[in-house]
Amino acid sequence: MTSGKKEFSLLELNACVRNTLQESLPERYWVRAEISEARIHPSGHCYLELIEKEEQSGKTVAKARATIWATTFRLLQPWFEQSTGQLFTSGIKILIQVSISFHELYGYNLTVHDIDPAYTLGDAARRRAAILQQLREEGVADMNKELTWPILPQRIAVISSPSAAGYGDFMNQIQNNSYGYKIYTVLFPAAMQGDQTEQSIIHALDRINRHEKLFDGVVIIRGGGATSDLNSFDSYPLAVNVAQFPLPVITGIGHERDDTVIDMVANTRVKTPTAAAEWIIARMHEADTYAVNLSHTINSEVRNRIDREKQTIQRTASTLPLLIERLILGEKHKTGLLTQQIKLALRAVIDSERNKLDHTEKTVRLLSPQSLLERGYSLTLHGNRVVKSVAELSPGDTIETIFADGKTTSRREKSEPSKTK
Amino acid sequence: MAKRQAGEKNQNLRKQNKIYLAKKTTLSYSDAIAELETIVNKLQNNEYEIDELQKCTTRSLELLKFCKSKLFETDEALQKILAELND
Repeated sequence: MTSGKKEFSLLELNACVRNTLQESLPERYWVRAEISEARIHPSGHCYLELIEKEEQSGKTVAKARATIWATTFRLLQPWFEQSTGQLFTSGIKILIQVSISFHELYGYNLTVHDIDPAYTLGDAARRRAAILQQLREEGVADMNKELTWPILPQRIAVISSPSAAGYGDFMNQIQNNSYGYKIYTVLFPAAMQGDQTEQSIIHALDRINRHEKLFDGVVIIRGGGATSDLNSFDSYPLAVNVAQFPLPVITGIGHERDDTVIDMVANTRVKTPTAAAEWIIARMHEADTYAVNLSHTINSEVRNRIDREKQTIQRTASTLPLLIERLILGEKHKTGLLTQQIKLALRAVIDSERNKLDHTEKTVRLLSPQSLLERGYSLTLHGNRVVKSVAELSPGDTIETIFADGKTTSRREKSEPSKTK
Repeated sequence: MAKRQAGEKNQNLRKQNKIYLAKKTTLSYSDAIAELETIVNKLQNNEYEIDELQKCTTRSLELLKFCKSKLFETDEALQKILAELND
């Protein structure tokens, strides 16, 4: 024994630490942490490595081991994965209820009793929001959404896992569509869960991109139903590839909860692979109906046009007699007017001629022998000839003198020619 | 002025139609739809002579037939090219 120092064996010290811990932290506590490692033992126990990182630097600032006993883990794991759509695996942030223990041999350890999936969901949502924000700042977030589908989305590149039930559902729906439409699909295989998901989907997109002209759009589908790791779909590299892809992308990743980032940037988001197939078939049907409707419209427009022309002809035909009648009436009226005018004109001419005649008659009457006789002139006849000169008469000739009211017979005595002659 | 533009437009369309007829294999579903839409528009704007109506009906039936074949018949050439991608 040396000096007066109080000494412990390591076991004693550890037992002391254990007792102290149990006394001062006896309850269960809710703790936020990130899983850096998770191992499931064949016995069913789950061993976790928990860490806390500094927000800014990402440096690990705390670390602890934790155990979920098989009886608890059997209940917690499926419930957690169903609620969050995420595998209970490394890289996720969790909120767990723990009790603290210290074992003399194994040291500090947390025992997990409960877990709050809402926290993990919230964390995933925050991460999605951050990725989306980054895509927006880079101006690519809406690029795929802004692409328009061709009228007929008939040539489809499919990214899926060939063995996935969802792929089978999709193909079944496409090949047996009730309309009998011909839809061409090419599968570009990719892992749809696990570590390879992100890289293998990007690789598939690259392959499709090389044959861009051969396709109308891309479908990314994944076996529906059960939960599992959707974390891979909340990835910046994958989202940036989908967002900038030159063909419109449909996602049918088979989950009901919040959209993953690639759902948010894809042109069209549906819930299941079957819904993706239905969407394509519905678009085909729209294109079909549209063509039929256009053709019907053309037929009815042509028929209407012909009907209109017929009506015009009929209208013309029925109005023609009336028009002609009106024309004839008009002409008749015109003729009547003309007749009237001619009559008037004739009368005017006749009147003027009559006046002229009257005037002439008056003149003639003034100049007639009778009127001369009446005005006191007389006419001398000798042997029925008019005597115009005294030289025509010899003494003793019998002459007749005509007056206006009768005649006398006399004998020529003496003649004396006029001096002026 | 507007009328003349419309006239030019018609002429262009007519030229396009000729191209379609000449290279029928390059006609796509979208092209067929576009041509049907053009015919509808022209009919609705009374841009066709009565003598052209017969042609409209015939052409629209041709285009519809083409659309139906796109929808329901297998394009062997395309199928072959796509099959090669699967390898």
